[in-house]
Amino acid sequence: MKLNKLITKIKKYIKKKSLSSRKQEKIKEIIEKLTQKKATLKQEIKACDKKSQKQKLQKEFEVVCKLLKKSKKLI
Amino acid sequence: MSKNLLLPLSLIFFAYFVISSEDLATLLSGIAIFIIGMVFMQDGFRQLSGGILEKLLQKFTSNLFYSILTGFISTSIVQSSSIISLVVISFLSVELLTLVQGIGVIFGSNLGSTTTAWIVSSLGVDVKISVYAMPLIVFGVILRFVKNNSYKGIGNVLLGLGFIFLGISYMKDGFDTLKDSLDLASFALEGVWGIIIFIIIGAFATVIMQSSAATLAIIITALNAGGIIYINALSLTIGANIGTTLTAILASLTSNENGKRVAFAHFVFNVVTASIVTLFIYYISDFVDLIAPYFGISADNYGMKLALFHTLFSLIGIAILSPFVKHIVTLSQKVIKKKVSAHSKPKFLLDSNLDIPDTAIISIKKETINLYENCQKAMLHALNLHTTNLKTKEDLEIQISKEITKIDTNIDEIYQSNLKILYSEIIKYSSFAQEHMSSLQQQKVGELKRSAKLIVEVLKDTRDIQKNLNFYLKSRNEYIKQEYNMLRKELAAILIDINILNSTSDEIDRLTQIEVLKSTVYSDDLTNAGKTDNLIREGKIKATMATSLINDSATIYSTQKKLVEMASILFINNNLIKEIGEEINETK
Repeated sequence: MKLNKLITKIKKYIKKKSLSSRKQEKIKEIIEKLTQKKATLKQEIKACDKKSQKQKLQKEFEVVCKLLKKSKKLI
Repeated sequence: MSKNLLLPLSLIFFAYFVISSEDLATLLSGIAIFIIGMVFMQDGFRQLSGGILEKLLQKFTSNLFYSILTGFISTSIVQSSSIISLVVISFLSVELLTLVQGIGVIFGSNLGSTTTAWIVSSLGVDVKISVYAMPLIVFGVILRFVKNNSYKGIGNVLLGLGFIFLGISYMKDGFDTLKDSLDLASFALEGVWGIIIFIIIGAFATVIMQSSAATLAIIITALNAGGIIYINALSLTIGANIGTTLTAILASLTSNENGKRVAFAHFVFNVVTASIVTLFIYYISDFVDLIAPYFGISADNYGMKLALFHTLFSLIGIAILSPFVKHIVTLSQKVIKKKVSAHSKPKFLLDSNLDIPDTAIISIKKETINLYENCQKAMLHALNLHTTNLKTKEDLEIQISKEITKIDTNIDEIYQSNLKILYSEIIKYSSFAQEHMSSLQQQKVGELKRSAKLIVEVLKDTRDIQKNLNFYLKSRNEYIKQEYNMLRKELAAILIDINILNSTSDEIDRLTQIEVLKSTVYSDDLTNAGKTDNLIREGKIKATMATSLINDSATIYSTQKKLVEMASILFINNNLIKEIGEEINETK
């Protein structure tokens, strides 16, 4: 009886572990994408002449930075 | 074009008759005064009742007998079957009455409307009623100027009675003099053809005057003046009963299916009764002659005998058709089916998906997006924006810069007739689907239900600002006009942004867009608040304009927040990305 319980616990632990490792992988993917996005936006901001467009891109850039920061915390 | 010409032509035609014949003018004036008297009296009773009528109808309709009795008493007092029918229709639409109860009230109301004939026939024979008319009108007018609503109601009732008396008196005089210059009796027709022709005339006259009471008043006064023969008067009465159902049918065309069913039941009642009474008209006429003395009616008092015939007509109908009310209900439900518009039909909620949780979730999500798309269209129309060429912010700028053309959008009607059904279906389907789901899946469905609720809320928010928006967009004050145009633009812009993010396939891009929208909404609200303060300080807008603007800006801000929340529920599928978004908001 006790052995059964132990096995279930181990199974659960392994499952959790594999889930979290999958999660980690996904977060890494997201961070990669966000980093790319950040770089693209930086270039776009530099190249942009229109003030309103620049403001819009700036806002997006700030949001991406925040998302990146939060994503890194999840690892 | 022909429709536009119809009214002026008929008015010219009437004017010719009124001017050319003094007798005819007296008669037509009598009819007009009588009808206006009915209108005043009905208004008066409506003001006096102050909800009593509604309470009575709600309380005393527990079974068919009580429904008929309530219909009879209320119509006898109010003297209008139309008012009772309208209350019944409104009660049916909110399911305060069942169709059986509603039909019972209508049956009773038919009987109640026969009291008009009794009043007219008992007043119009020997009594010089015009003597009473003038004091009633004078007191009615005085009471109408009192501020208290009950006194106003009494004033209207007195005024109505005064006009009715005056109208009857004029009609009587008109028929009396017309009889001397024109032998009306020569138009009398006996036999089957006479009955049929006079039934048609009675129905036609009632449809034209929109009141069977007015037709009966004319019939009785004409009968008393010897203008028509008794059997033709009986046929006219049958016709008036058929005509009144056509009036009800016309009125029900704009109501919902239950209103139409009641009108249908009314039609069945009167047509079936009219057919039976027509078949046995001579027997019933003899029966009236037989029982008239028991009511103290003399043999030559044809007016009162006609009133008795009219009451018998309704009693025969009630006696024959009451046992078949349930069949009439079934028939009316078969004839008038519930209309479900294409917009209110769910597209994705398939019963076969209910047992497969993940598929059910996708179905609910798709249907909620469908609900949003329909709501969005209604919202843009309410903002006086055409949706066909509105894909980008540039399209919006073009439309906003143009002169505003009002688009008639009744959001309440759109919600009741289309979107409420769709919303209810989503909620119902979700509840059934949740039964077979894990707690995580149930949570997802819970979120989707919330997004559907948010969609309905934003639609109602738009309705709340629509009135002020239309008013101030036409204002001569350029500043307030500009501010409302800005609010309109801000709300429309967020709808376009949500459409754009929905068309983006990358979830990270979607999340970025949603977060950008959140910060835009917040900064827009701050800017608007500052601007309003400046406009007041500089005296550019009045305080009343400012309060409207503050309230409506707050509504728009809350609507935008709801839209962003809805978008994050509906358009972010990846749980991890959702989690990152939530993390950001928690830190805020």
